Amino acid sequence: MTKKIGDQAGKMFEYFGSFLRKCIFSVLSVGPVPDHIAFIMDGNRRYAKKRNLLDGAGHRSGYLALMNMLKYCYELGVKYATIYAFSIDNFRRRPEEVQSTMQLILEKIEDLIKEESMVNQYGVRIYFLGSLKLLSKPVRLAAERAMVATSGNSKSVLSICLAYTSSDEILHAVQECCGEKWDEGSALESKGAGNGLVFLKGNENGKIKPSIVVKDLEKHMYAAVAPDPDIIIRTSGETRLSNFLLWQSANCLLYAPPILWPEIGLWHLIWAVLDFQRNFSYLKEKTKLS
Amino acid sequence: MEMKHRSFLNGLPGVEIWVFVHFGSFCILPSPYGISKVLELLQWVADIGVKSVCLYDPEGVLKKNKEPIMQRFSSANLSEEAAVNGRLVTRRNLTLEFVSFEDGKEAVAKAANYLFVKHYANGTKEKSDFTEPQMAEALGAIGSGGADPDLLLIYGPTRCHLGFPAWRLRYTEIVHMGPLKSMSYGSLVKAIFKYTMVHQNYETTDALVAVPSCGQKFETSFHPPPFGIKENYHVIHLHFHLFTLFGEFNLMKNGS
Repeated sequence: MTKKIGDQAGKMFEYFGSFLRKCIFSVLSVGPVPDHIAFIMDGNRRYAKKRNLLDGAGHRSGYLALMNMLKYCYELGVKYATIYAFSIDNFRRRPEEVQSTMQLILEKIEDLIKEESMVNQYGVRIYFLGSLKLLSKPVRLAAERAMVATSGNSKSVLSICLAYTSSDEILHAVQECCGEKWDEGSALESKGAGNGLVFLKGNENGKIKPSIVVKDLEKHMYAAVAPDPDIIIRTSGETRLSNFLLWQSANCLLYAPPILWPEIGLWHLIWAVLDFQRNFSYLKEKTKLS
Repeated sequence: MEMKHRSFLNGLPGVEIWVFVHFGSFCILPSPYGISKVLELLQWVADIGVKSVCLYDPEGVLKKNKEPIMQRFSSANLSEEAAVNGRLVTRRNLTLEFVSFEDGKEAVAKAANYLFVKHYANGTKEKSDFTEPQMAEALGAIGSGGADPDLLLIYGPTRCHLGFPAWRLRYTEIVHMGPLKSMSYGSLVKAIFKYTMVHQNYETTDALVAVPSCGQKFETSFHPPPFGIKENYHVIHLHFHLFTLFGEFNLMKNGS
């Protein structure tokens, strides 16, 4: 009986919270709403240490905070969200920590593609961005399953950066462009229409016409599935981007609240959006110029 | 580079200050208040001991109008008397680098072409992936190389790096200093000091800067900051590259 009353009270509280959020988001929507918000989820381990939690508990608390933030973003009307889940640099951490994090990621990917998850509730399509070949087979296969399972969703997009760094992304794009230009040139050569594209052997100077432009590179970036972010939020008050979306963040507001990731809440998102709205004209002007 | 000076701090006569400063670079993005503010800021930076400065201007205005800055910072060193009197030697011969938006994405495209020519020119497609050192070499070859800044100070209305070369921004601390018109020596020193307390996740041993322990307040006058007192202070290694960005710059509007 007591449990029933508690459940009902909890539901009422949730409905009230949802109603209050709708009112706040209606007011916020009078101004420009960011189309894409990216998150660097910093501070999970420090949170666990601060609260004297077991290893891994900080990351689990961080996952709950992430689900809330994504829910708020999609309710507000932010169509694209990107999260920095695991950097290539993180592979240098202690093996047991990497293993534990990978186990958590695997577990949460499986949760995401369940029928009743937030992903299906908000029609979210999931992409995994990064050098996925660096991941263990179970995690890689789970990521591929999640991308296939959500390929029919079209309301919102969640990009999860896994085994990712911007420098690796740029190198990958350069590699793909070079491979593409080579294939184009080889195809032309085989048809006898080299168009000046001559591959000479030895040390002779080639007549290769390099033609890679910025658009070619952007086409091959991992993050090409979404537009450039409008806001990048990094928690813990850290002011660096740590090799995250460097190419895409040229005209992006960088917001660094001094709280640990599991402590992030609705008010931080509201504050970031207000800051974005305050600087919208300036950032829009800069985007046009570039 | 090692410099030894008598202390100028009140109440601490005779304490020697040891400062090892790497020839860091300081990147500045201009705002619409003219070159005079830029020169003033550069002077402060030079007084702190930074040896080379990188000026970032998205539109490339400073690149095209760099003569006043070059002239100001090309004079000889001060006399030895200044050093003996206990003030840090003010270096006026800064190494200056001018960077603009085209040194970002466009430069990477040029580097991609460079790599294509270099690795595909022999008529065979190389199977190995490009590496970061190869990319860095390619950027250097096309004239857009340079050290990664450790600290990026943004002078402008908002905290946004405005297309600073992505390749050089990987682990850079990005600090928003506010509009250039409101710049102050104290906030500059505070930003640098705050940076020295940050735990960096990569190994760099190019510079050693002795910094005060917690609780020390810097003077906000134009005297050089107390960078390093040997006893009772933390000594940390830094790769001391400073960059500052200005939001926008308009030489025509402000005369200069």
